[in-house]
Amino acid sequence: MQPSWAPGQGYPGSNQPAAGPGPARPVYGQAPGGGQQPPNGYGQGPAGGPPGALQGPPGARGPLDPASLGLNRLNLGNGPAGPAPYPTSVQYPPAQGPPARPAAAPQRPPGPPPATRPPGVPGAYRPPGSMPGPPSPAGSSASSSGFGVPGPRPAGPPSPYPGVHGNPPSQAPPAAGPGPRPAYPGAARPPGVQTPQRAAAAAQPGPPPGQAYVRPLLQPGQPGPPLPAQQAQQAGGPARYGPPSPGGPAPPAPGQPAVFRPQSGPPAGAPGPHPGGPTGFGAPPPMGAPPGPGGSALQRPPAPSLGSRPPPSGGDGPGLMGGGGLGAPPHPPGLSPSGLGSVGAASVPASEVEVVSMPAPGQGVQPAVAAAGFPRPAGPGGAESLAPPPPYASTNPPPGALRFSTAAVPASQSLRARWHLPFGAVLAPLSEAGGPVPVVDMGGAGIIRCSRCRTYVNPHMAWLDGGRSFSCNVCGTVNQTPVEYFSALDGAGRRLDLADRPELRAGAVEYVAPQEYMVRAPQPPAYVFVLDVSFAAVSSGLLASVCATIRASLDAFHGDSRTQVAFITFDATVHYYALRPGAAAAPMLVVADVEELFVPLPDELLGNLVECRGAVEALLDSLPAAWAGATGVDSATGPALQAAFLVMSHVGGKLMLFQAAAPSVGIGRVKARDNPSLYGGDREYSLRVPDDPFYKRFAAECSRCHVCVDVFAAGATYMDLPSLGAMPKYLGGQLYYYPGFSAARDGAKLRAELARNLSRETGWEAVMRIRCSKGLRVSSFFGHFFIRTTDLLSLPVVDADKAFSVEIAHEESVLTGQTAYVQSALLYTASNGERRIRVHTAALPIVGDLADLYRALDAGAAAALLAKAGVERSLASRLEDVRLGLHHKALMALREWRLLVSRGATLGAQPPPNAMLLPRRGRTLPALCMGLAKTAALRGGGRDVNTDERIAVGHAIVSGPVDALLRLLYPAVYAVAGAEAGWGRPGPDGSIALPPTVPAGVAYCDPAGAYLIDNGRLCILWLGAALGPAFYEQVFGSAADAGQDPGQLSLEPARPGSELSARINAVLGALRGQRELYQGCYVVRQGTPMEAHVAPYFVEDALPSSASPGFFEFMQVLQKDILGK
Amino acid sequence: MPYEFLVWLLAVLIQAAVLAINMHITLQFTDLENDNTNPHDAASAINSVVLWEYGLEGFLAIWLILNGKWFSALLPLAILAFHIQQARWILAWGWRFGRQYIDVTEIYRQVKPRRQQAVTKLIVYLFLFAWILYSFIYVMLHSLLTPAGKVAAREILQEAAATLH
Repeated sequence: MQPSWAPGQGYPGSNQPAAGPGPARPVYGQAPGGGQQPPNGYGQGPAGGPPGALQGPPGARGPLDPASLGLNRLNLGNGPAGPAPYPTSVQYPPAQGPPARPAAAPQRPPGPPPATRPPGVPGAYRPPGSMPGPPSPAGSSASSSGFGVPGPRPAGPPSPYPGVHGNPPSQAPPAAGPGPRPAYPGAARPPGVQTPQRAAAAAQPGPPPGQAYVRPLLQPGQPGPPLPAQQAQQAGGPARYGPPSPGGPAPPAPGQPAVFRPQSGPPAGAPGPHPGGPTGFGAPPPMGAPPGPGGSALQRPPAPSLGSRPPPSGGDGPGLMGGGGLGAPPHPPGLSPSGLGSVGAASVPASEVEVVSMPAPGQGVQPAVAAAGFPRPAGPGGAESLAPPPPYASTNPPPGALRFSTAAVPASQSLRARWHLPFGAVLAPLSEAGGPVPVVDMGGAGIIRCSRCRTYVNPHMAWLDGGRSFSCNVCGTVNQTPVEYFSALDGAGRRLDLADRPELRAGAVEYVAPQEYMVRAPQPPAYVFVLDVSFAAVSSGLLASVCATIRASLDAFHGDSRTQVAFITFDATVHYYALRPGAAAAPMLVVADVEELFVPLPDELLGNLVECRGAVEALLDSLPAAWAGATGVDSATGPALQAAFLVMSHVGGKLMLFQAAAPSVGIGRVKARDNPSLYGGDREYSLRVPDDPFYKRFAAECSRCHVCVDVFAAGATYMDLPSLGAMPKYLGGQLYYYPGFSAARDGAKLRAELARNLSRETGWEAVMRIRCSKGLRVSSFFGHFFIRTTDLLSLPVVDADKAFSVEIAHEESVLTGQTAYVQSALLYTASNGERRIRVHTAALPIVGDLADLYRALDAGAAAALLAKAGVERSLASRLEDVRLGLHHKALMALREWRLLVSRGATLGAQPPPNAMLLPRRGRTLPALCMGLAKTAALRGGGRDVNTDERIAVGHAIVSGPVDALLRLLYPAVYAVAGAEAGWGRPGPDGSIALPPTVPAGVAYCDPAGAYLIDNGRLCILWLGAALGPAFYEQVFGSAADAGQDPGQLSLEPARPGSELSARINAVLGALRGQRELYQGCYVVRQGTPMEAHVAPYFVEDALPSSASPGFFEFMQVLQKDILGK
Repeated sequence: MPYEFLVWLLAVLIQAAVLAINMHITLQFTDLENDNTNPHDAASAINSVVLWEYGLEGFLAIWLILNGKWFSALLPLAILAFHIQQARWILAWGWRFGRQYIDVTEIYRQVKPRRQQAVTKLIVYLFLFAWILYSFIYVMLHSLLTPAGKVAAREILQEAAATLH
């Protein structure tokens, strides 16, 4: 073994600090200079040997070398990097202009000063003023009438929503004011000795969107070798979750803004001497670190393994080594923020604590005024509060595809037990929000995977032995590189062909699967439409709308010339239609016996769409007319489903059921069993699960044959959606619900949603597997799928609007290593007939500190996971229990946080004793939890929401992506009366600027204003009682006035000549966008009876009918529970 | 053969069958946990035998009671009560909804507790089997202990003792 490896050889055991709080863990936050110290002494390795030592003979290291166990090191270099032509494995946000940052970091775009950074960039910093959280004196003037006035509220940073300032200034923690807050979160903390745990790191702000960045290495000759004493101090310390300070040589002094946290934004240029606050979310893992020739990155000092290029001048030399731990500037002991603490005790900088003062009850304050200062996902800063934290590794898939409830992994089971929120991920593999995914055809080499755990090759694998073998980042196994895939390594251990290998550069990649990934030849996309032609379907216009939409979408079907279609209609009997190539009509075949189904002409029912186009068009044109006089009220749904299954079982595909009444004939008929009196009892859940086992069994059969069922339910009365919905639930399908469908009102919605269903990106015959690093396992799944083995999801069809969620559990009590990986692989047949594998690989730091978990919290994803788990639980227990469970989770999480803050707080002045302390990243969690309890899926009891609606919303929650869900939990209320700001017009990039939002409570709405409420399922234009006639005239046309029944009004289409109307319609169009569901728009005026229907969408208001508290009461109860033990 | 002997013989056979069925179910769950089988096959394999298990165990309880073996029937009766509780929806919801059946769509959520349950039952069944077997042998020996039987037994014992030397 080369001497230079020596420090690494002890890993994994020996490098753990004996007295440490646990195994070496990255901790968020690193001293700008000190964090670079590799926790295990890696940083010292290079120093000990000549550069050549890194390139020892390839054979020098056996596969059993302890260091090659797949344990990557964190914290590598932070010197300026040499030119890195491509982003390699790990990319770090550029430093935020640390004063001493060497100018020679070509790779790193000099971070724009945070103050100028647009506030809206997700994961980016917000300018100081935009912080909605802490109360500011300016806001104390919040009018007692509620802030009704939707005055110009620039979404921009400086003017927080007025309500935010409702708290008396005196309660604001000094450090938290929106003003020039201490640049550094740690600023308020007394300096102390830097303990390993506390080693501060300067955080670095994220890169400009879209820009790749690589953490630079220290160049040789640059200043800043750490003091030996510090090395010693830090050598054993855990790695920090926080990028090492940007410039190795950066002097400790300049206060680097804590990175990555919105609140840390202010560039702070404040030269606050806090070299390292505990902070930085975003330390680089050394993943992907390509090892130097002859040596694995794993063994090499972390610095080079970052994937940064070696300094141009130095090659492997001192630069490499220095860049990492050594380059760190020493922390003057007096300045390092450590202190507080003891290992394990979290120190929480003031900027991470959101102090919400709770007016004491009985002060006679209006709840709306009292609640004005509460954090919520609305108003200025509302959007940012839901944004995911910046990615740990720049190769991590975009948040549109993969979000974690917290972007860090608890290091131990005991820590996990203190993290009361869900720990898991929401994955939307085919989502358009995931951006374009590079497609890789591996050709002769086949797809490279770990031989033991079958992980796909990814940017985090370490290449060893000059490229002849690689070490799996998930299980640590050393695999031989296939000859076809061999590539030599460069001096820094990266493969020379890195630039040509998207799979080694991106966390999201799509492989073209070779033959061995097919059980059978890819099947053509098949669509079987099962249409209800009973009286209800015909009279409501469902049949005509569906036929017209399918007819119009014929060109948008997937599969080019291979698409197959079949049509089946049913009332009390089942009717087939023979599709013969070239025929001009489709003769109908009736099967009268629904008990003994058989398929006449089995070869002619499923026709190729191109060959049978004429017959299909003729059929769709004639169907509405042919059944116009239908009088049958029975619905043989079960037999029709069986018939469709027989037709399509050999190819699989999509079965689309259009159902206008409850199934009443044959197998699968349902009873009118919606019985609100069961609520509150032990059997309440049975209302929400299928009654007849036929549906589950049918789903199981369909799953075997790769048949997906989409249900379009349009009944005016109880349809037993719990039963019908069981099919989509297990088959990757979708449940659409149009209560009391009428073509005039819901036609547009049906057309848009059906067209979207037929044209969105769709994968067929899919299976998905999610792998986690050793010590972790996926414990539960949420979504629409069938679980085929413990970790394999069977998805007959997967599409762009589906999200799958997992909760991750610890299998081992303590995790080793510093980085954990989660890889999902979706194997599917693309619509073009190619078998594809879409692989998403994410790296997460393993942290030993609870505060780091809160620091990496993604409130949006956490709320989404809570929602999915809650809905799933409602299928087996009472709604009341589910709501209590949710409340308990939020309560425990916040109580734990309060404990954490009270232990290690640096809040400056003590907050008022009854103030609620929220984690900055999770400040909207209470609002989201309250909204969740008020969604139709979980709200109230038997008489508040009918069961069908509950199930429909529940399905949307369980299968929806995070963004759609958040809208449902906390509807956006856009103020559209004032035309002052630039909303409603296309911006430079063509997207429509949205109006400012206000809190979702009537008290916050100006009676003279108009608001557009969007909850993801429908839009409501809410008109204040005092709204002037000018608005009516502009938006609804000249004939309208305030006295007219608003139910008769429609704001669509845009009234010619009215700019306001055009802008509102533009906003509406932007909100609908590329969504799974199309929001129909209703108009409701304040003070009319219809207002009661809107009440549930104002989630901050109390809902007396279902005994749901308002936001203020909710927070009071929550706070009381938090304080009470 | 005395009737007593037949009573216990039948009980032994029934209990052996129940034991076999239970082991089969336990194996299916174990296979499922280890991905050695797929949920469809496992569910159909389990569901096809589970009623046999319930029926045989119930019959055993009744058989023992009918023949006056009150003490021996206690355990089978307890098991029968448990089974009825498991399948208590039979009356209200029809046959297909008993909890004894495995729902293939939910099988992975249930596999752990179900396997635990199967293993627990296996232990109980084994204990019961041992007791029944003991009773069977006891009765068998007693039936052998006619005068001629005593002679035979003595010879057997002596030979057995002789072989020990």
